[in-house]
Amino acid sequence: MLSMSSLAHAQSLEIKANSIHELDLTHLNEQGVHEVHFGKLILNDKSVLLIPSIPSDQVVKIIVDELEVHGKAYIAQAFDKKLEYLFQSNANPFDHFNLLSTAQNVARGRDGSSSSEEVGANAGHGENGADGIAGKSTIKKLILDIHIKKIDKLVIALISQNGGNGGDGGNGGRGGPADAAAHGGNGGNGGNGGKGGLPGNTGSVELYWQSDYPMILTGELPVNIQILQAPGLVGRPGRGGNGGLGGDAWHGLWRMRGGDNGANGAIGESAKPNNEYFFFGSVGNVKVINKDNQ
Amino acid sequence: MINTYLKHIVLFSIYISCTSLWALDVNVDKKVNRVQFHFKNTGAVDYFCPKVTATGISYYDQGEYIYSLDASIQDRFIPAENQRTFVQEDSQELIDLFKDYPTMIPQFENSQINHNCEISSSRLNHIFVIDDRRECHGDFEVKSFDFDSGKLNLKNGVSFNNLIDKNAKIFNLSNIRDVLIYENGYMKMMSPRGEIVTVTPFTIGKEVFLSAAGVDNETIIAMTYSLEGIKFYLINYSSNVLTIVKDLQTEIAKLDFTSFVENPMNQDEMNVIVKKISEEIEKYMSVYLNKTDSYESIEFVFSFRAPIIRSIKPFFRGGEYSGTKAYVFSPYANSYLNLVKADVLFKGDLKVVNSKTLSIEQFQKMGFIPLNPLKRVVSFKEYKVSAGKNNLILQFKNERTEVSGFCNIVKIFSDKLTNTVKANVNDYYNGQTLLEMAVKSQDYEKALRLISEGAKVDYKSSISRSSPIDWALSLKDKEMMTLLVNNGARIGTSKYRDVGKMFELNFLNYDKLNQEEKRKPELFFSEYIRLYKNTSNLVLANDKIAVLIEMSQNYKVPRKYLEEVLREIQ
Repeated sequence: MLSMSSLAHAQSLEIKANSIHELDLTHLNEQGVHEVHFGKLILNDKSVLLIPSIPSDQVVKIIVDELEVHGKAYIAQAFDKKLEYLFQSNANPFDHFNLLSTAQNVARGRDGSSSSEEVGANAGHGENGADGIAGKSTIKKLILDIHIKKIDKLVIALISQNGGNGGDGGNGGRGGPADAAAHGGNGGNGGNGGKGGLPGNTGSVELYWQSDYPMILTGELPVNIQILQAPGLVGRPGRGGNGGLGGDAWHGLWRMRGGDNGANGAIGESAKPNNEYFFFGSVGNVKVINKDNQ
Repeated sequence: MINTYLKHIVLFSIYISCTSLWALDVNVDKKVNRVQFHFKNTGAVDYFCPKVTATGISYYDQGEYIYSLDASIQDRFIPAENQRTFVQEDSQELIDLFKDYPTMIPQFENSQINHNCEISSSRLNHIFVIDDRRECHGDFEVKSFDFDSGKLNLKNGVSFNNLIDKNAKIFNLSNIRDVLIYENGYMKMMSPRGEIVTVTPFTIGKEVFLSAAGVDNETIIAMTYSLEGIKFYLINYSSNVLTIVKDLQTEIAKLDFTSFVENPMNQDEMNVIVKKISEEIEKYMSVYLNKTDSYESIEFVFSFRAPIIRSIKPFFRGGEYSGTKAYVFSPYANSYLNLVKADVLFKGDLKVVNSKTLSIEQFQKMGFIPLNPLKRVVSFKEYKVSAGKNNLILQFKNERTEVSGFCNIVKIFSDKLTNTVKANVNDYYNGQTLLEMAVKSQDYEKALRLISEGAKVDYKSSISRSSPIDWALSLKDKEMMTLLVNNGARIGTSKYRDVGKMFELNFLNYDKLNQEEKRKPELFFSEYIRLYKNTSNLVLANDKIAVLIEMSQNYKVPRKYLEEVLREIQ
């Protein structure tokens, strides 16, 4: 269940259990930061306060004068339909990165034209696959300034998108056959695969918190708060297309050789200069400040 | 039936405040078998009692001593102009005893009330403020104030220039009024009036100073952290001198990730990240102290998050993705939360006697208090002092006052004691006293030390209902029996006051021993009779002597030996 509302002037909000509420980020403060101020925010079990998809160089600041979290709730940014699965189960994106949202896949390259009817003609090469689309990055920074009234379990999550897969190269066409007068045509080369899409990067988190009640801490962070930054994974590179078959040989009174097979296309290049094919997006820093201890 | 004794209830009361503004009575509840503590506070200030104990409530049945009971309550708040009654939890042992002795009555003649109650607000007695005045044409300074809870104000401010570094770690020590300061490789002790009492070098190298706790009035345990784990230091504090007595490196919170991932493709890269995060682990670590002390050991809980390593087997086929890649993630990133409880023995030795992992729920049920004090808030019960940038806010319930005159407050703290409950040498641990445990393990040195520290030789285990002398006699431990009797134990009230029973136990299998081995039971029994006579005027009638002599024939104990032993008690 997704509900929308303008929260620029909202004084209080309660998100029902098992529901997602998307922030309307229409208020930019003087520093160019999307700022939302809640007098009171109540998050019920399995509810999500969702940061919408906005350009990844932007900063969101959420101030809560009085926060109540009943059960396990989330303040998060993530993309598309996987969000609900990830948030409302115990899945950890690091163990299930293939379940993260993935950028749209691109088409494979077109196959080369075939010359199978035209005697001795060489075939067309397959097109290279398109490069994968980069996964969406989260916002640059999430700043939370919260005064805790009650908290069972809060997960603060920034979850990026995986890069899309590179398109596979097109297959080469088949060369034309030989005849008494001509050798067979060569098969077309397969197209190269496209690069995998770059993974989405995950922004940094700054948490400033205060509570009227004693909390169990690990250093500065209460045990019942978890900060999850899940970067995207790079897209898979496209496979090279197969080379086309050479034209058939002539077996008449004298023989004429067939065409050569086209070369297979190469796998898509690495999205990184160091030829690395498997990596995650970058992850921003985390800063936690207990305001009674700064 | 249990109630039949209650008409004989004896009340006693002791005024425990010289101002007579409040009083404390102890009696036994008429309906249930519980000791009651009645507080009456007629004054205008609140009191707080970390522990109140009524020792030596004795139960007699028709004049015969049956049982002694110590009752205690902990952490009670008695508001001004108020009366409160608290009851101790059920004593199953007492209930059981009433089944055997329904006419048993309690007597308080030898009872004492011990307490450490104090005026509640005095727990924030002095407030110290570290004020950075460099932006105000001043210097770095420390100020000390008396906290006036009545008027909710600070008074008698005294300044000390450059006394404490702004990065110093400051700890209130339970059981020790002075404050411990760690800065730049030195430990300092500061008195409640802001005087530095002693400065001691404390070189810890790459370790990080984590925390410290006072475990009795002259013993401090300090804790440091390195990648190797938590290290404990036992420190003696007496005559204003700090002496490091012993240290103990443990593997608590040791970070070792080498075995987590086998042959990762990016081992070097991973090691660099792990090391970087690990060196900062104190940012992710807190220390807690059990609110209730044990007499010889102290319980800490370390809560920490460690970096996470995930090994991932790339799934893409075709060669490029083969092998395992390892990724290191921030300690904040998931639920790898560790709560480790460590029971640290500090008397006689320094060692971790028990260590186990707790769940958050288990931890919450236990009474632990944080040992990492906040820098900007000091609170006790309903009083709270918090620091703004250049002012202090004093709060009590809905009242609030502000104290200005500061420039840039770096840190505030008080000399309030950590709110622990001091253990007594006669406390029970799993139903046994420490002395009983020492007797059972035949640890003479420890038994003697405990007795010298006030352990009672006639305390009975709440489980076995056996006293230390009962155990010494049942173990036929001559040295322990002598030690206990010399310190007030009486064989005449022990389970082995029947000489025949003791004789039987002692000389069982006597005939199977060789000549040399026979000396041990002979010497034990001679000593038993001698001590018994000296402490209880033991006299045996002729008919009982005759029974013993008859038994000696059965057990083949030399008649001559027995007659000689018994001569003095005939």
